[in-house]
Amino acid sequence: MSFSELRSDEEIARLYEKYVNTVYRVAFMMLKEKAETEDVVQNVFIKLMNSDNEFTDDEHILRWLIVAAKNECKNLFKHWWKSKRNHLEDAPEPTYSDNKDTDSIMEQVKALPEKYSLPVYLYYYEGYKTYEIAKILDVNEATLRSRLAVAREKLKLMIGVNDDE
Amino acid sequence: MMMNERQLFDSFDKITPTQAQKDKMFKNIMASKRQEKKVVTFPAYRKLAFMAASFACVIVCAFAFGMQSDDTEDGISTANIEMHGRTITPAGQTNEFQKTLSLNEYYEYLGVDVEDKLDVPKDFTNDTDEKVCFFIDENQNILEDSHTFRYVKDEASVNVATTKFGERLTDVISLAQETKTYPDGTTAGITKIDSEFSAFVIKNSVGYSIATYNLTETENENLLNSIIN
Repeated sequence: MSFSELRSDEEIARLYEKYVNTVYRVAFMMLKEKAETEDVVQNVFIKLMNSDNEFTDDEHILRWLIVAAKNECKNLFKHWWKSKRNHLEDAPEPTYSDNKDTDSIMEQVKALPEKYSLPVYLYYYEGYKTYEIAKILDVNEATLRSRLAVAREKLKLMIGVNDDE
Repeated sequence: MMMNERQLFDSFDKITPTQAQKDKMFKNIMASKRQEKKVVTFPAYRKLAFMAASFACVIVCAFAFGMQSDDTEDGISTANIEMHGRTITPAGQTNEFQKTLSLNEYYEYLGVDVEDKLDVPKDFTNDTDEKVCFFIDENQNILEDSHTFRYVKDEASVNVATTKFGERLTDVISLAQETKTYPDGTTAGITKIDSEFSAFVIKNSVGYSIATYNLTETENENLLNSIIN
């Protein structure tokens, strides 16, 4: 897929429709706040429009978007006033349902540090293998597995260990 | 609460932007495309308007540089170049570059070992990023050199941002809730809001932006004194 193709409105619209939810979730898992998540989503897709990367397929684009979203969030974290603002502002706006069980689970996931929550999301929702997540997040696979294990422990997750782990 | 994989999946599934959100974001994205190099606005930061005016200058600076990426976006590699023995990567869509320093290199640059200098309350965990990211222009002029030293403990936190562009804090200090001048002539701009404490100090040309949460008055005072003295 070439740069010029990515620049077309139609292509951007297609990719946006296809991947906006994933980018939104990745950003939300890290920022836990709706307004900032929207900012990150916009910036990520703007970067995609301006990127001259040669993408091999949509899956390549998706992985690029996930990394870009993670980096964009990290840039926000870098600034001291980010943590300060968290204290000043109200709790994150509830963006999901009234289902108490689901919301309770999400609260637990949100409470996880990003290094745990993002792997959990990519593994259990996006369905990536651990070696794929390790590559996307640029961490050692053993480290990634360890983080998943810690996350499961923290979440008291009652799930089996798959073959790829 | 015990949970299973299905419940976890469902909970992720519900983190979905509404159609209105999607439309708004897409509209902004396409507007950005049409306006090419137009600077992207961050509507969320409008919320900061209620914060004390003393933070405004710092926020503007931080915001301006916060739009730069610190990693390669494809997770693999792009056109890295070597400069003075350090790897420099293209940052974003401008002519700015970034280079990474270790903390020791940063201390050498600032002329002060910040972690050693700070009197942070006991039992706080040092959560400071060990890599310091500088932004430089194509002529190797340093555009941004700030780094945040972060310490956390339960619901309490200490953030001290440093920069050699101390003069940027001059106006901020004067806008603080109160100013305190020390015997050596150093002036600190201090603002206290409930459990929040912030102070801005320029000491030996190094600017310090302090933000703490849930510290006692004595702990805040000790932290500030450790910078002044």
